[in-house]
Amino acid sequence: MTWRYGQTSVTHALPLGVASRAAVGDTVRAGDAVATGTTQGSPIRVGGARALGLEAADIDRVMRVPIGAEVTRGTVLARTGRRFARAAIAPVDGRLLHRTASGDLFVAPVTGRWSVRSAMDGVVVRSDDGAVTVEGDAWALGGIAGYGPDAIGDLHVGVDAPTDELAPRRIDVGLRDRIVVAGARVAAEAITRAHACGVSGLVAGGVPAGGLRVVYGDGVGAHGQGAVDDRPTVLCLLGFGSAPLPPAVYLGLVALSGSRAAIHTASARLLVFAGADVPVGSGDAPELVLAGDFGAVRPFEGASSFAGPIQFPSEVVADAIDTGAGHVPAANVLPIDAPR
Amino acid sequence: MTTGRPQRATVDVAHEARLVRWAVTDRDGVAVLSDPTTVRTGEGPTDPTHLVVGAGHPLRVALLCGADAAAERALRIALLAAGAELVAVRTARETATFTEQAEALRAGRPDLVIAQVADHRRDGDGVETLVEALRYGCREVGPAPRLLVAGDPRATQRLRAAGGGLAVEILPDPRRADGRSALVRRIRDLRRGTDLALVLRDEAIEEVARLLASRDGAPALVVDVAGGSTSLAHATATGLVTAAHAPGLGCGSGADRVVARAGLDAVRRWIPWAVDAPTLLERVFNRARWPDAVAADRLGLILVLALAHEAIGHLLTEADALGIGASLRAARTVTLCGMVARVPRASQGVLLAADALGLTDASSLSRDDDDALVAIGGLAGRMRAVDGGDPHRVLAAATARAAVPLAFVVPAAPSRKGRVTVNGYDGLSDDTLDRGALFSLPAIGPVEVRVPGIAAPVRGVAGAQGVVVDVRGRPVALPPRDAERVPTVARWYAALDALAPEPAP
Repeated sequence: MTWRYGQTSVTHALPLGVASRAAVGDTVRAGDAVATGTTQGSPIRVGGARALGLEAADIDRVMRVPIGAEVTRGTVLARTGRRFARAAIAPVDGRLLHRTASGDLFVAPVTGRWSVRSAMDGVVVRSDDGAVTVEGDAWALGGIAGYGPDAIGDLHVGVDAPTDELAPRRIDVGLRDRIVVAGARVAAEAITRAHACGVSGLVAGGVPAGGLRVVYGDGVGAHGQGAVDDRPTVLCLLGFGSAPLPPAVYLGLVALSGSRAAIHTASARLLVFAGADVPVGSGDAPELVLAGDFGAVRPFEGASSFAGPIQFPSEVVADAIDTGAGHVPAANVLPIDAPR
Repeated sequence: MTTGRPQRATVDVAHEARLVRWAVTDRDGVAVLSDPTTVRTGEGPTDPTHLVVGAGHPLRVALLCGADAAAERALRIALLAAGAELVAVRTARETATFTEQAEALRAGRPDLVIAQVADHRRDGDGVETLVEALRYGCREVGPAPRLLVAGDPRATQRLRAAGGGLAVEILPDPRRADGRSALVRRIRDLRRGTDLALVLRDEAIEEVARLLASRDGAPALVVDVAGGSTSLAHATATGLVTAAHAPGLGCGSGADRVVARAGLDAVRRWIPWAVDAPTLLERVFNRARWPDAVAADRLGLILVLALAHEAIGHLLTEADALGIGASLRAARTVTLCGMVARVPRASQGVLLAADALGLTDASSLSRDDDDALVAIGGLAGRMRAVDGGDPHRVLAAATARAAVPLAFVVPAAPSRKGRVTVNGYDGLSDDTLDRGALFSLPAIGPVEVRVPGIAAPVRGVAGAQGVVVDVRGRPVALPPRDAERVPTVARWYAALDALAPEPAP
C-alpha cells in the first residue's frame, strides 16, 4: 500500500455483448477504449439445424453469419439446398448472440452500446470476451476498496495536509476531469458535489461507511463495488471513517500532482503515469493502528515496544504493544503493506 | 494418532491471519493436546505430521432448477451442508429473458453450476435453455465454471450435451440421501483442492458434534462463528449429522456481509446502549478489512457479539426455511466454538446462545478452549477419512477436557409462577420465578433443576455461570424503539453481569 514504481497489469472485465476489442500487442493509453459492445433486448430463438434438416453439429458448415455479428431483419443466418433452399432468417434487426448445442440460434435487438476504457498506459497482453488486460509501467498505490467506475484524469491534491478533510467548498468545476486527493476523509456531500462538478475520482485515507451507503446504496460493502454506469469514483486507501494519510503516502501524492493518473476500482489501486525518477519518497512502509472499538485507522510511526499479554477495557486479554501513549493490541498494528 | 503412527503431530487451526498451533502426542492410543501457540499464517511446523483446519477454497455455486420445489429444496439443503456459497439461483419458470439469465450467471462468477431437472417433460426444455444461457454468459470468462448435472436420467444427457465446452459431471439425484451425500462430498473435494494436510473447518465442527453427542449419549449442537464463516452442526448419539454452514458470514472478514444480509438495525438492536447507525457501520467495515483485529474496547466486543447474534440468526432462518431448523435446535448440549468461545465472560456466551438460538429446552452450554475442540475435530475428520481408527476412543478424553462448561440454561414459560430449585454438589438453592426474568443461580457440575409447570426435574451440567433461568419467553421480543429496546437489552446484560465496567474517564 505504499508507492511502488514498476511494471503492473490491469485487467478490465467486459460485460456481455462484446463487439470489438483491442488485440494482444496493441498499445493503449489510459482513457482509450479497449472494448466496445452492445446491450441486448429480449432475444428470439430461431430454428436452426432441425429446421434446415441438419444434425446439430453440421450447422456451423452452413452458417452465413458469424456468431456475434450484427444483422438486419431478413438476413440469412444459415442456408441449405440450392433449388429448394431452406434458410434460418433473422427475425429482427440486432445481433446473432448464440448457437445452442441443438443447433438453434438466438437473435436479439440492440438496445444500447457500451465501451470499456483502459485504466493503464501500456500494451494489451490478454484479450478475449471475458477481459482485456493491459500491462505497463506506472507508479502504483494500493488501497483497500474502490467504488464506482474506473476513473482517468490528472492528479490534484485538494487538501493542505494529510490530516485534513476535503471540504465541499474546495470543489468546483475547475477540478473537472481531475483525480482529487481528499486527505484523511471524504464525506458523502463532497463525493456528490465532486461528481456534479465533473471530478473524475477521489482518493482519501478514509471514507465514511454511512456516506458510501448514501452514494452507492445499502448494498455497498467493505470490499468495494465496481460500476459501469455514471457514478462517482472513490478510492479508499486505509480504512473507513477518518484515516490520516501517512506522510510517506501524502508526500508521494504531492510529488506526483499534475501527472496523468487512473483509479482502477476492481483492484483498488491508484496508478500514476509519471517517470520513475519523480522523487516520490523514501519508500519506508509505515504502520497502521486500528482503534480498539474499530472506529478509526491511523498511521503510527513512533517508537514502540512489545508489552506481552495485558487485559484491555473490554476484558479481552491479548498481546499488546506499548506505543508510549498507551497499549494497543498487537493484532491491531499492521504494516501498511500487510495483506488486508 | 494411533499406536504405530508418529508419536507427535501438530494441528493448526487457521484464523484470518494467524494459526493456533496445537501439539498432539499419542499416549497409549489416546491423543493428548498441549502447548497451544499462535503463529503467523505461512510459518510451517517442525513436526512431519501436520494438519491444518481451515476454510479451504471458497466455492461459488449457481443453481439451475426446474419448477419442482422439493428438488430445489433438496439442493439447497445439500449446499447448506457443504459450505458452498450460493451466488445465483435461476429457475426455468422465471420470466427473465435469455440475456438476463446469462448476465445474472456471469455476474455471479460461479465456480460450480448445478443443473437439476426433476421432471424431464415439464422442465427439460427450460433448464436446457438455462444451461445455454450459462454457456453464453460465461463464454471466455476464465476459468469456466464446472457443471454438475443431476435428476431425471433422460434430461441429464440433454443437459450434458447443452453444456458442451464446459466440464460436465453427472451426480445422483439430490432428492435421495445418497445423492445429497455425493453432492456434499464433491463440493468439499473441490473446496479442499489438492491440499493433503487440509481438513475443512466445517467438517471438523461436524466431527466435534459427533464426538460430543457420542460422549453424552444425547443430541449435541455445535455453534461455530469464526471471522469469515458461521456453522451449526447437530449430531445425534448414533452419529447422524444435520449441518448448516454459511461461508462468508462471520464476526471478522464476514462482518460487512452479515450487515448486508441482516440489515444494520438488526445488528444494532443487540447493543445495550445507543449507537448511531453510521458510527456502527464504520466499525463493521473496519473490522471486515482488518484480519484478526482484537476488540480492545467495550463497543468492539459488543459489536462482535451482535454480529454473531445475527450470523447465527440468519443461518437458522435459512435452515428453518428448508425445514431443518427444528432438527438443529433439538439438542441437550450446546457448544460454542470460534470467536464466540473466546469472549471474556461466560455470561456473554450464555446470552448469545440463549437469544440467537432461541433455546426452548434446557441445555448444557459449554465452550471450546482456545480452539482445542476444532483441532480435535480436525483430527477426527482425518481419522475418519484417511488414517482409520476410532476417533471416539482416541479423542474422548481430549474432547472432555476441551469442552469447558459455561452454564445450564433453563428456559421457562413466562406464565408460570412459583420457585425454581437447583440441586447440585453445593446443595440446594432456589429463587422466585417472575414473568420476564433472567437470572442465574450459582452451581457447578451436574445439577438437577425443578421448574414450575414441568413435572420431572431437568438435568444438565452447570459451569462458571451456574444455572441460568430464562423466563423471557420465546421468541425473545425486542422493542423496536431505541428508548425501550436499549434499557431492555441493558437489563439482560446486567442480570447476568455480562458487561465489563465502563472505564473511568
